[in-house]
Amino acid sequence: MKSIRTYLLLALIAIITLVTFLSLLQGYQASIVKAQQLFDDRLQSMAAMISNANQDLHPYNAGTEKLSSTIFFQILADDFSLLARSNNATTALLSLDDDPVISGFKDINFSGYRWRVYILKDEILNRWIITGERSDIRYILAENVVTESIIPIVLAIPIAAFIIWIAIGVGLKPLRELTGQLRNKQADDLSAVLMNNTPEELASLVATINALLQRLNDAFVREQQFAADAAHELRTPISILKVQLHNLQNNGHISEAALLPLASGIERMGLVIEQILSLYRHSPEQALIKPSDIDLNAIVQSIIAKDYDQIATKQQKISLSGGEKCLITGNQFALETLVQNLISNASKYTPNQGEIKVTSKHITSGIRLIVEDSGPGIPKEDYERVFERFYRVDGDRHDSAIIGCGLGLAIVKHIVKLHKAKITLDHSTSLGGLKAVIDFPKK
Amino acid sequence: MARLRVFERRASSLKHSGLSIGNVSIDSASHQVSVTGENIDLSRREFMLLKALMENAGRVQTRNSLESKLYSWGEEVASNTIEVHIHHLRKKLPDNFIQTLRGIGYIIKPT
Repeated sequence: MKSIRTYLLLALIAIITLVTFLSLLQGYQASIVKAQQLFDDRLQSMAAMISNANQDLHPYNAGTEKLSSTIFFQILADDFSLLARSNNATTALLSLDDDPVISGFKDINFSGYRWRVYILKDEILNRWIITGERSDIRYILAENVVTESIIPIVLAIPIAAFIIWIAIGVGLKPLRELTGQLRNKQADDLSAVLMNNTPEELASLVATINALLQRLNDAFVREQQFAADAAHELRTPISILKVQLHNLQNNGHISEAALLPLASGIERMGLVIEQILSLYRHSPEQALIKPSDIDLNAIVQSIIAKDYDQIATKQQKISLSGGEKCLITGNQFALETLVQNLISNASKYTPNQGEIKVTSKHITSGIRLIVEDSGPGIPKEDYERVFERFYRVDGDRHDSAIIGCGLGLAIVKHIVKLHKAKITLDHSTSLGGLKAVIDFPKK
Repeated sequence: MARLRVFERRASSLKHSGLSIGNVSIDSASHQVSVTGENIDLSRREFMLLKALMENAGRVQTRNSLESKLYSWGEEVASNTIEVHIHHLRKKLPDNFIQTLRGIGYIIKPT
């Protein structure tokens, strides 16, 4: 994956390195020239010093170590015979073959090396003073000086890289913040992204995202409104159908069997519509209007009592464990819908003579409600999907004998979220079917 | 439809002074209870309890709702009071006449 940070770092380091080396190259050449001048000055002043200090006619050999170990001198008579020399100088005559010999700097080759020499004519004593130095040594010396000034700059590059890395990181912080905000958004949270101190570059991105979220939200609200309105509008005709069906059944001319599919069809339609309505009835605004302390245990008892017909018809065994008061903050109607959906689901998918076990108890983080059954359960890979609207396990191949529209668990999840609770599905080890666990936070 | 059914049910159990399920009969006017024709003695609370269950036969009566029927509001009720009354009632009634839904309540099934 491409990273802006890495890209900027590499680009900046490359530029810094390039610029540094260009300036170093320039500096190196200038430094070498300067160093050569300095060395030449030294040769010249040394020659002058020797000529001034060595006034006797018979000069002696002397060391130059104390002045400069790399420089030698020779003092030659007018006829170029050697009068004196430094200890490190050769006794051989330098090949000053050009004619006439003149004072000044000269590059000569001698005994396999290149030398830089300075020739000074001592007019008073009529002799020649020659000071010289090996050119390659001069270069090494000059280079050493230059290299030592380069090293700190080269060493500074990694430090610069580190600082740039951090600086880019700080610069990109708003981007990370934006990503974080978007990542933390709940699936159906379409509220605008709010950022403090949005940098110029991100401002338009944030604005675009917010506009998109707004459009999505509008569409979402329209869709919800449509579903709710449609369901509501359908309620009346369904009721009329039910009454008409009832009249037909009491008519006596039509056999009960012929009306059965009609009855179950109407029943199913009515159920779907009620489910859709109840899904949209629990909007967050409504749930928050009047939150009150509610005993979950009492709700479970009353719902089981109310829906016992369904359970009794299937000769199922139902029990509630715990039984103590479990107070949570929430909306009575919503919680009744939640419990009702869970229990009717459990009963619906559990075969005749099966068992349903409901538990409500206090746990450290709040209140836990468990509904287990001895039905076939749900495959693990469907745990997430069953909460989607209109999703049914096995899709069209779903056992058509069981009336349902795939909204029950969507409603459950919706209500769970409104109460800041958490629902998890699991395999019931004691009964072998599905186990739904809802954890409500402490009130 | 559902409302109609509820209404029907209520109407049927409303103020017939006599009511019998299986071989148990109660007469709310005379507070008499008989099992297979033989009168049995019940305390006032036991009678109210049995009456509440029989009038709502086929429907589960939660412990809370029974408590509210037996005791006036604000009266201190021990948590196992209903269970104790049910226990006493059972001894005087046929086996399995009152069925328990563990943790939830009690039911008398209509025959």
